Order: sequence, then structure tokens, then C-alpha cells
Amino acid sequence: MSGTHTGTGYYLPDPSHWPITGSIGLFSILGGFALALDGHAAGKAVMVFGALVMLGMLFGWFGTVIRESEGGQYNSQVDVSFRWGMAWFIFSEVMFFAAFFGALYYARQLSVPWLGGEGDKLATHQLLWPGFSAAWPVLSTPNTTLFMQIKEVIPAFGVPAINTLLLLSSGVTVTIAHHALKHNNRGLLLLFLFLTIALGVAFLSLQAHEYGEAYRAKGLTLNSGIYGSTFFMLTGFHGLHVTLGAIMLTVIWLRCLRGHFKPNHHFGFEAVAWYWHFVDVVWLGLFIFVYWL
Amino acid sequence: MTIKLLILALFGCVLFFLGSALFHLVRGRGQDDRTVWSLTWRIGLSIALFILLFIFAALGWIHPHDVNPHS
Repeated sequence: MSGTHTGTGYYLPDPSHWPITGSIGLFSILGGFALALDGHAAGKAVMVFGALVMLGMLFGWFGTVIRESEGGQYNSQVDVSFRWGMAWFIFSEVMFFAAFFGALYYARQLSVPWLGGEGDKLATHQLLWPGFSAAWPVLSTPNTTLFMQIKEVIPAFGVPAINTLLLLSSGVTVTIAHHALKHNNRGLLLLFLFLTIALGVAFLSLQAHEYGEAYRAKGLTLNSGIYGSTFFMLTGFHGLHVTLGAIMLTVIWLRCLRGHFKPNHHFGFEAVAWYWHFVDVVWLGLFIFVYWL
Repeated sequence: MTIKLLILALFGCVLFFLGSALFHLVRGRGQDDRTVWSLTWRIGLSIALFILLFIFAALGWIHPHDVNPHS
């Protein structure tokens, strides 16, 4: 990406293979996931290949940008473009999660009550599944031959509450690290950024454990109807975002160890810190809407 | 219902401060403290909301999800 960027001129990057590498990685992960869902033996291998390509891309692309940034190659115009790139990326993320929260709302407030005969949808209820009684979460799916029955939902006062506490704590630690960077307190910055990563890893470990419990003991799977689908889509994609956030925080921590970032020049840190707050807020929304309201 | 609206309003405030931090991040060029202070408000309010959920539950004003039949 080392392109033409003189003084105040417009930045023109050289051609780079990292965008297409990342696209291949993402496509392989999703393609492999689709194959695995369809029962193809190659599905998991394709997913692992995609994940490795993605990791290689992150390592290589981050490295290129860090070298260029530390080499003083970026002018103020590049700084502005990074900030706007971040804004558009976040816009796409908001739309992404809005679609899943929208699906949860549609299923819970509209389609499931309709199938139960609510409002003017009595004919739908009588024609499709007259024996179905609407409830949320949907424990007894209307089509019991196609979808598994859920034995039990995950209660709010267990792992979900602990996980919320873990993520909120990580929000506190990353904020302390942020203030420490602003006041040029490097020791505090390194300590609290490390704690943030540790809390993120603890969150992911508990989430993985909870998924295992859901599949093994509770019969709550991707194949157990609309509640299972929305639950795993929302929490699963959120978990992927926490994973990516933890990787980015680790890169930022390593950069801080090397003395990168200054109190008035730290866009990389601030962007990743904001992203971490974003995944924290998405989880808080999940905790409220899936478990409480 | 009032309690649920209060929870939603607090969550809206959390979203506002998160959005405010992003605005200052994009437009502020990192020269001032507005991003970090918006994020500080956002985490403070989030923790307050988390604690309130449990206080409301202890008072019996809201109940975490069990199975809720549609009437």
C-alpha cells in the first residue's frame, strides 16, 4: 500500500493484494459454513482454510499499515480517509446487526403470534398448524418433524449475566487504558489494555461453554426453530466480532509495548477502543432484548 | 410497561453517547478529549443499566425471560 503521499497531496495507494486475499478468506469461511450446514465433509476444512487466510491477511495488512504509519508516510489527508473509512465500516456493522435484531423483533412480535392465530391471521393459524400455541421463546415448534424441540431456554441469571458483567468490565478497563494514553501513562495503558483482552477471552470461553451446554443438554440448536436460529445468529455473529476485536486489541497492545501512539496521535488505538465499546453495546442490547424484555 | 420504557430510554442514552464518541472520533481528529469522555459516559450508563435490571428484578417489577405465552 506504499503509494504516493507527499506533503499535502492526495494519497494514491499502490495496488495491493490484501483486499482480494481478505475476500477469499471471508468467502471460504462462509462457503465452508454453508457446506458444513449442508452436511458436506469438506465444509469444516474449507472454513479452517478461510480462517487461516483471514489471519494471514490481518497480520500482513496490519503490518503494512503500521510500517507506513510509523514511517511517517501518512499525511493529514490519509488521517481523514482512515476516519471516514471507520465511519462507513461502522455504518455497515450497524446495518448488519439491525437486520438480526429486526429478525428477532419480526419473529417474536409478528410472525409467531400470527401463526398462533392472533389478530386477523386466524385463517393462517387454522390452515397451517391449528394445534400450535404461540409463545416466546418458541419451545414447541409447529412442525415437529422438521425442527427439534427445545427442552429448556438459557436463563438470564446464569452465564449470560456473568458474560455481560465480563464485557462491561472490559469496557471499564479499555476506558481506563484510553484515559491513560491521553495522559501518557504507559504503564497503566499496558496493564488495562491487557486486562481488556483477558476479559474478552474469558467472555469467549464462557460463550463457547454455553453453546456446548445448549447443544448437549438443552436441545437448543440452530435447527430448533426460530428461537434457536435467531439466538445463534445474533450471539454467534456477536462472538465473531468479539474475536476480531480481541485480535485487534492484541495488535494494539503489542504496538503500545513498542512505544507506538502518542497522547494527541493515536487513531489506531481510538478506533479499536471504540469498536470494543460497540461490541459491548451490541451485547448489552442482546442481553436486554433476548433475555429481559 | 413503564419500567420497560425506562430501560429502553437508558439504552437509547447509551447509544447516544456511543454515537457521539464516533462523531468526535471522525470529525475531531483526536486532538481533544471528547471521544474518550463520551465513551466514559457510555460505559457508566451501561453499568447503571445492568445494575438497574437486577434491582428491578429483585423488586419484582420485571422478570427475565421464561416462556411467555401470547394471549
